[in-house]
Amino acid sequence: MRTCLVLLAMAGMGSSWAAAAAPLAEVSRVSGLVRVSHGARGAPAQATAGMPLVEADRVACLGGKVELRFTDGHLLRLVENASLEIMAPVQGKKKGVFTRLLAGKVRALVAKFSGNEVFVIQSSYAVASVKGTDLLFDGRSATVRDEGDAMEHSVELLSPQGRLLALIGEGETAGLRPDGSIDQPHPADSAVLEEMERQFDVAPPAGGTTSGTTGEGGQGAGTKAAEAAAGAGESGEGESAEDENADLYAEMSDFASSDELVNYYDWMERTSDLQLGKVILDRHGNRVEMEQYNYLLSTNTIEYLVLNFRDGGPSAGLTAMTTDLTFNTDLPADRFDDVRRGLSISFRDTSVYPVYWLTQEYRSIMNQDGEQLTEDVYLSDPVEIWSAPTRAFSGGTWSYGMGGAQVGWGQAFEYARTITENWSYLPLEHYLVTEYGDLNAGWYLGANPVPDYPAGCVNFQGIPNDATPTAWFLNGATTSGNMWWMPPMYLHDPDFNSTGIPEDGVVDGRPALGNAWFGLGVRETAALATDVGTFRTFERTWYGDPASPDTPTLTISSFIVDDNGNEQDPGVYLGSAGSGWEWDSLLGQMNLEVEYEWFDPYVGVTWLADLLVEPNMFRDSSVMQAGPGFGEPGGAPGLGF
Amino acid sequence: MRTYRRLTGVLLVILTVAAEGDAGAAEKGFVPVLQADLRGAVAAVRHGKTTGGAVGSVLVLPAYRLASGDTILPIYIFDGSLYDKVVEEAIFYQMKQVHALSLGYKHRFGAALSGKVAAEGAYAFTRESRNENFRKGLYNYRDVGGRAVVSLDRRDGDRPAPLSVSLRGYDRRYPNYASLAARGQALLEKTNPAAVTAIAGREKKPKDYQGAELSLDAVQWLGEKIRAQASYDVGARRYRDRYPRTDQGLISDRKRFDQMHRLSAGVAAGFGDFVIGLDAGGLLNLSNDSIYDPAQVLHAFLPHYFQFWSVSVSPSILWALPVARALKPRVRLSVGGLVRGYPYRFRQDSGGAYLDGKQRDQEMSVDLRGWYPFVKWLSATAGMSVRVDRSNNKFEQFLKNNYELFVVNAGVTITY
Repeated sequence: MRTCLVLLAMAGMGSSWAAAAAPLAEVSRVSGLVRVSHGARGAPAQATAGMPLVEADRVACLGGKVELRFTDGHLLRLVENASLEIMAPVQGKKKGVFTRLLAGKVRALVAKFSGNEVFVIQSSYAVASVKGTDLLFDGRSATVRDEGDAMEHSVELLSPQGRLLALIGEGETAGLRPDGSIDQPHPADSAVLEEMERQFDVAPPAGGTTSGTTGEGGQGAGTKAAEAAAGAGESGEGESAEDENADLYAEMSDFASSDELVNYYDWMERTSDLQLGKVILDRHGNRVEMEQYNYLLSTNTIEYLVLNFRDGGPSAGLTAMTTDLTFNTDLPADRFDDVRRGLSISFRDTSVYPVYWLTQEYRSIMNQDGEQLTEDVYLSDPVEIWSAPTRAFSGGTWSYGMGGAQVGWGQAFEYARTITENWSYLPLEHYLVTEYGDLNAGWYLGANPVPDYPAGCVNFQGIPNDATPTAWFLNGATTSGNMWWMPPMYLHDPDFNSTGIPEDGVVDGRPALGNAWFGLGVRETAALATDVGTFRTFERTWYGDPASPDTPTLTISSFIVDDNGNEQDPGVYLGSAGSGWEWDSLLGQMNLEVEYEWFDPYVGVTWLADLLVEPNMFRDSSVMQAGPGFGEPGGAPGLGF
Repeated sequence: MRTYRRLTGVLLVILTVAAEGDAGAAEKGFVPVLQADLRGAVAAVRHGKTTGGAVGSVLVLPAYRLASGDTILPIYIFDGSLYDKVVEEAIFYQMKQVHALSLGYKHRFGAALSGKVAAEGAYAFTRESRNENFRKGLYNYRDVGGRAVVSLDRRDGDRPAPLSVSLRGYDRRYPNYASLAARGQALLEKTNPAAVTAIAGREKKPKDYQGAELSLDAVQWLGEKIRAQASYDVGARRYRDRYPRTDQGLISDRKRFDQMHRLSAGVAAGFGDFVIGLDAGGLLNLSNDSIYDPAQVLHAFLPHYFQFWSVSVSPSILWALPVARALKPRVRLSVGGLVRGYPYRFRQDSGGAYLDGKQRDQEMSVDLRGWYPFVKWLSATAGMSVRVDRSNNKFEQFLKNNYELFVVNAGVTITY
């Protein structure tokens, strides 16, 4: 129990000067004109923080405030016109802290005592003895703050002779009236409590604000501290202004908040990693990391390297995909990739012979065991065809073929075919379609050639097809129809198209905005990475025209691999939830979007997946905007996915 | 290793000075203080997942006061969070623990001037994927550094109006974050030596950096109960092994260097039982780092990709409830608004292609929070917040830029 004694007279409180040299307290805070003198006749000196106080020292607040810190952390705060004397720590049979209030008011914040020690404030009229509480004493009456601990926080108000006058509980006040009668304990006036806060508080050191959930690394200044100083503090957060250890709390808060800026900076870095697809999670909670590099392998070959790391699941480990693009001539060292990018936005202009074109595309995919899939595509030089009637180049031929490929882990697959096409027909761009998983061996099915257009059939552009095989694709099981295209592979002039690399607008009279055909970017690869592991099981034949058995079909196959690498039940195809064509006016192309609904045993849930196919081949809106879509009754037949 | 030796030297100096200061002290002793904030939380993203979790922090400072008025300040901070699932829209960490330690020595040069030096260190454990264990979090980091603070305990009448200057230097490393090129170097040397040559051993540890921060803080009273505070912080970060890309995608020879400037100001005024506050701030991050994305037809090269600015404003009102006044139960309502711009980062369409406009983000929030102290050292606290983020960047495959987040949390705060 904490007890505070307030004696009504000084009698009976003999002083002991035996320990005069020992500091009993120190000035912990001071503002304004505060004098310290030794005894009644000592020479006064300005109080300074850290100034030790010994028995008989007197502290007088002439025009400021002062806080005294006693052994064991007790605090006394004096305001203007108050003065107090430090007394000997032993008074008769009692020991502890003894002070004499000579004038004015004092606020005491008394730490918890042990044993029979007391904290005494004596005046000409009264003495208070406390074992730990917060009280205001003006020499006649005492007011005790309500700290929620009535058992410990009472104050005894005593007469000078030691007679108990009143036991003052928390939130109560009591004292001597001017006529000498006792003002019994009663609830303290809130104004008095507020005065305790206002007059005696010393605002804690400045701290950061805690306002709001929006902000930049704790952005905002001063609100919290200002709230405390303005009278509605933050005691719940340990920054109570009246706390005797406020400076220490402030030190902790300062250290805790010192990383705000750094942490905010790192947060922004982390979100950038996500936005760029560099460090992400797949739908199973596995970490997926992506890195990408590109450099000149030789003077006319650019290499693109994409590294992928997955920290769990059946495809855990480091995998890589490499693409080498070899051009017909040396590339400018300072703009080599501008040339490559220019390919994707180059449109056929048969009147101008290309300057740059691809002669070889080599691609390898390495799994986590170091095994590689490779494919190697060779492309001929363009051949111009002179049109006598128009006296201009009317077009040309262009051929490409695959020299050989290793299309399954540990398997050899030779595929050699040359495709020659008149490249004056804009829609007749041949393409190489390959789908790669997330560079995961377990998902690769091997080559899956599409049936060639039967002789005599009408292809998707309505142009009679000859018997020459016109398309094939390599189907690695992947997810969302990520197609890898070989668009026109040449540039028309050294400036990379007549208008240079366009920023926007029109190139050769056609829109230049669009998605990259060259899907090796981190973003594209990461897009695969987030989907893999779920949408990897289905077998679906897409008929160009169900009514015609001669139209080409597209077969997409895949399978599930469990965590042990074993193939599992491919799941249950629940049907198509919807599909439709979408005309992309910017690209001038038709996209097919199919929504599949699947039950996936890998995760045991039913989910929807969008298969978005961007053919990037129909550049003439007049051809494709009208009529039903491919695969729909009455729609154009052909490999129009 | 040299860094550790330097740190050890600093610690020895601090301890030696402390011991000397303590030698003649007649009045000394430990003054332990502690703060803890422990909360459970439920967070829900609109049209997304609802997750439960816990957040907590514990701050311990067993200060040792010397008779001279000086103080030895060893501080330990634990800051942790645990969510049952990663919600990529808003919360990345399944688990995060930060253990920070500071050993400081504060000396008072007179009534109005004090200084502090401290050695600091921290280690953060993170777990984001289901496969990461406690020690192997990719974004684990450790800091080693030091700080010096000088405070002028200026007063405005009888009210404190301090000025302080703080200088901090630190070295941050991510021990588990190595580039894939570095991790796969042995494999690449066998399968693709040209790649190893091109990368030339660079960017093995692209996250590590050395940082320095300078902070200036000032408090000014504008009236009897009107307090204003302003601060300016500038931080610089020199990356040890990270290189911007050229406009063709090559690794350049320059190292990444960032600067962050923050200017913030706040004012609060008391009116009876209410305190009305207003915070405002501006932030500018400068960076020479660039990226190159060959998948982009347009804008494949983005210089200064990490450069951004932001301005924010946050008014608030705090109400000291008219019950149990001595304990100061209170409620605070704050509203926040922030606009962030990326002068070199193009906005993306939903497929990820860069468009011509620049990315611009907006954040708005409303936060309501209350505290009810049962006793001086123990308070209950509960709060709820709504945060709305909007961006003109529509590419959200990996990171949501447009979402609404609702959070409710409750817990206790302990102050001893």
